[in-house]
Amino acid sequence: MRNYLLVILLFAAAGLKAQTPISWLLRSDTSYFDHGVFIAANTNAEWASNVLDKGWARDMVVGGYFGGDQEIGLLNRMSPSNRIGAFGNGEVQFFNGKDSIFHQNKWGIQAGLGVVFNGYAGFTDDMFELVYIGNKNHLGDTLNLGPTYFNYQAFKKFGVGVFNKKTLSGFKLNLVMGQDFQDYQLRKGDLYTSANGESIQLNYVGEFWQADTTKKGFVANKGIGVSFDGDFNLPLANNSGFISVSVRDFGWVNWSGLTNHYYVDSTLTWTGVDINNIDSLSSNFALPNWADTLGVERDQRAKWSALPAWFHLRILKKWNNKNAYFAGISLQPNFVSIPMGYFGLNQKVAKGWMLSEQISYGGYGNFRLGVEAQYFIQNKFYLRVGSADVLGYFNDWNKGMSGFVGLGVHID
Amino acid sequence: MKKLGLLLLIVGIAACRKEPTVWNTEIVAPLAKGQINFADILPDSLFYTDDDNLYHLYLEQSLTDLSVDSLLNLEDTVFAQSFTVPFTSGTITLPVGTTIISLSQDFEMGSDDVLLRRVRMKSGYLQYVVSSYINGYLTCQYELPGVSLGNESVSITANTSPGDADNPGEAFGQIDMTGYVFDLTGESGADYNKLFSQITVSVAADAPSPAVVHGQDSVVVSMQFVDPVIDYALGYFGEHTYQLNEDIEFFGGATAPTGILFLERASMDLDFINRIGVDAKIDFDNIQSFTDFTSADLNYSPLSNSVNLTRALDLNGQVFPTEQHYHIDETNSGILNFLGIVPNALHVNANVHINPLGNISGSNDFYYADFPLEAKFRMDVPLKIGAQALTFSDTVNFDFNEEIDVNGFLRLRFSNYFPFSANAKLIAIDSEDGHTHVLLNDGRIEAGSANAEGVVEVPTHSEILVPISSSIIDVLKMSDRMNIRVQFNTPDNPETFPIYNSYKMDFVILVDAAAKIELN
Repeated sequence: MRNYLLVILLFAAAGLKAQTPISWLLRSDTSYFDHGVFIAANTNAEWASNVLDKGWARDMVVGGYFGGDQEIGLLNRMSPSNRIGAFGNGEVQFFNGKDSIFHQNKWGIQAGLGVVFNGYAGFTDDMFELVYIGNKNHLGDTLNLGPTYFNYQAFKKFGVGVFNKKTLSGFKLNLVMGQDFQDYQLRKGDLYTSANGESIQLNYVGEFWQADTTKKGFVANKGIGVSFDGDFNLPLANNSGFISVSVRDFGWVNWSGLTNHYYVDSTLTWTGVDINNIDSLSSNFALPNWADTLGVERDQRAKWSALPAWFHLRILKKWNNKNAYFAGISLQPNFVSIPMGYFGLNQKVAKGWMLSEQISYGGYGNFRLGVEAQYFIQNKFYLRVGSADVLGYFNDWNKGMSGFVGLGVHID
Repeated sequence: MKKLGLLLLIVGIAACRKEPTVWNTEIVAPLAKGQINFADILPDSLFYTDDDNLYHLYLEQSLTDLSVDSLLNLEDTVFAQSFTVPFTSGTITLPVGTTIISLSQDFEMGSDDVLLRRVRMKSGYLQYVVSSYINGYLTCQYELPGVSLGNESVSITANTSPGDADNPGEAFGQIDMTGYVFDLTGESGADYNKLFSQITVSVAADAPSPAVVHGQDSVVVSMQFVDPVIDYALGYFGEHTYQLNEDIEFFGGATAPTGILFLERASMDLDFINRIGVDAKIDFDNIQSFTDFTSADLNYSPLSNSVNLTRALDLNGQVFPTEQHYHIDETNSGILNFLGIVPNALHVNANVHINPLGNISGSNDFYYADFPLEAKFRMDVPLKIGAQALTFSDTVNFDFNEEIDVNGFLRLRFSNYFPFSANAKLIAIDSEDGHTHVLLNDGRIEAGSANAEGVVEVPTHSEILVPISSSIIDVLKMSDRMNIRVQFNTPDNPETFPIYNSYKMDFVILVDAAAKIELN
């Protein structure tokens, strides 16, 4: 469990950065992509939550004792619906501006090679309390454990496509190799502990998927699929900006027939192991088989699952030659995430230098403040570094962290 | 390059994981539940409930040492009969078909002190071997007119090869004796233990050569019973005395309780039923109850005298037994003290004298396998009792290897209808080095509260807290046995309380502890 958490936190990347970079769209040299080859490498990592803070994340990842007032503090600010999510990717992109497609000089070929890690969890405050504090404070009370979701996917992708050399609109079709997949959905889960503690009643409906557990590691290939990445950058009148629509990782993976499938839909009243024959104490005391007791149905089967797609809509508008603003909305459709809106400012501060500041709300987190610097060096090298949640670097109460780095080189 | 960067990032962050993530979750949950009835305390075979739903301790057992059929045991007895040629020296050659020996004679079977006239076999086999020391191919015709099944008597035809003094020619076989009747009165018809036989030995009709017979050559017939069971016997079974040493265990080898029981009533019946045609006299040395620490004699004066069992009467196969019956209870004996020590066994020690007056039946003692001499012991104790330190102890094996880290308590909750309190002790034992660790000392379950009639209608609730901690978990891991000792006491001893079959003790075991959760 902690390994997944670690991966999610380390390799999460914000969907916000998955769009065409502003500096590319606002480049002064509009023929930049018309000639030569541009190679870009991006690594993004981000996690965000609306309730869980960096202190919790550090204890879960780095280790140590999690207790005292920490869990109480977190619990006090939770609602029945809480979320945490993370997304990460690393990608190398090739934009070939030399060639043309079907004699259309404005279209070039693009290719990409990337890896994506995505995870999210949605949980109730009662689930958090049961896991971290226990049920002792809820004798004679019901803990609502559902709905609780956990989803984790990791995959590698290789894609080719086309792009418009001027607007950088384009698309890419990817072959996807699934590395790992876990999906837990406890759709309903009520846990009632009697006032005297002598019985526990569980009502639960859940379904759990776990890709082939016999394969481990980064090179494991547990499924295969296809995905679509696309950008549509519509120039505004008078070269005043762009409206951009983007989609990333829209596709499916067919996880192999060795995918474990568990299903539960039952009610259990647990009053302890029945020892009605005192003689049975003479034999070894054995706890029941919990899978049987809980009525878990298990099989193995292939599973089609949708990739964790991101959808983006952004408007980028120049105020003048040096300043612009942007605003948009991003969405990762699932049971947990909410739409994320953002607004930001962009300034050309020196030759080749561009700074951005943004405020965002939604996704898996709350309000976040981001900063970013982009730099074109002699129209040949490109550097980008920033964070969508810069406060995460400075305090433990922040509910997320983010960082991204991009490098590019233009070869004539 | 990008992958290398990712890898470095993973390694870098993973290196920050210095220790597991740990937290404590406080859990209250039931672990086990159950119900203890009286049936759980004692074996089912030891009690019943009467019409008033009152429990009775009950034990019934035959005193098996009183069986007398062992006196008539024929097993392993080998009967050998030798037939010698009718000349003492010299050698003659006899042609094919010539009779060499033709004899009839009685031979003895049975023991000297038992004079049998007639025996019917219930089952078993008669194995025979015919050994020829004559140098010739022989046909031996061996007849036992006194051994018959219906109208057919035993006739054995054995063909033997040439033999000599060292290597006889042999033929062998066996006969199923089921239902066979042995007339042991011999050729005269008035003898005992004598079986009349006839033998004819001839040179075989198909012998390839004449027989060369020397003086003193012989043919020997050996017979042996295998797994014989006598169905009926008639004769004089002799005068015998043997010891009766019978142990009657109450708990079938299980660990017996200790302490003192105050009883209001108890009874013991001794029934002697003689279906055998012999007289018997039984002299009891003592009847004792035993614990591991003490013993008590049954004080019952009639058993100080001899128990005389006269012979049964056989009228054409219909047996009329004779009986002796002794009823022992609290009014005529010290049985309450006898049983009050909570014995785990009774010991009966007596001398049994068969035919103490000798052969007064004119050798008409009889025995039917289906009608033995029977002695029954029956004990009935209505459980209206008082208990003082009545202690049940048992040591059970267990194997605990769970990797758990908890601190808190096990809550053992009891709802007790029994009119006695219980004090429980749990001791973990490490068999390897003998170390013991007391997990619970003197955990008390209160007695059910009886009404004016001494009946418990409402249970009393008690809770015992058993601490659990990391160190106790370690002790459990190292231990492989658990000694459970429960001591029962009724209030106001020696006042007695009825134990009804509605009485029970419900229990629930809860864990109420902080579990250490470790995320690696």
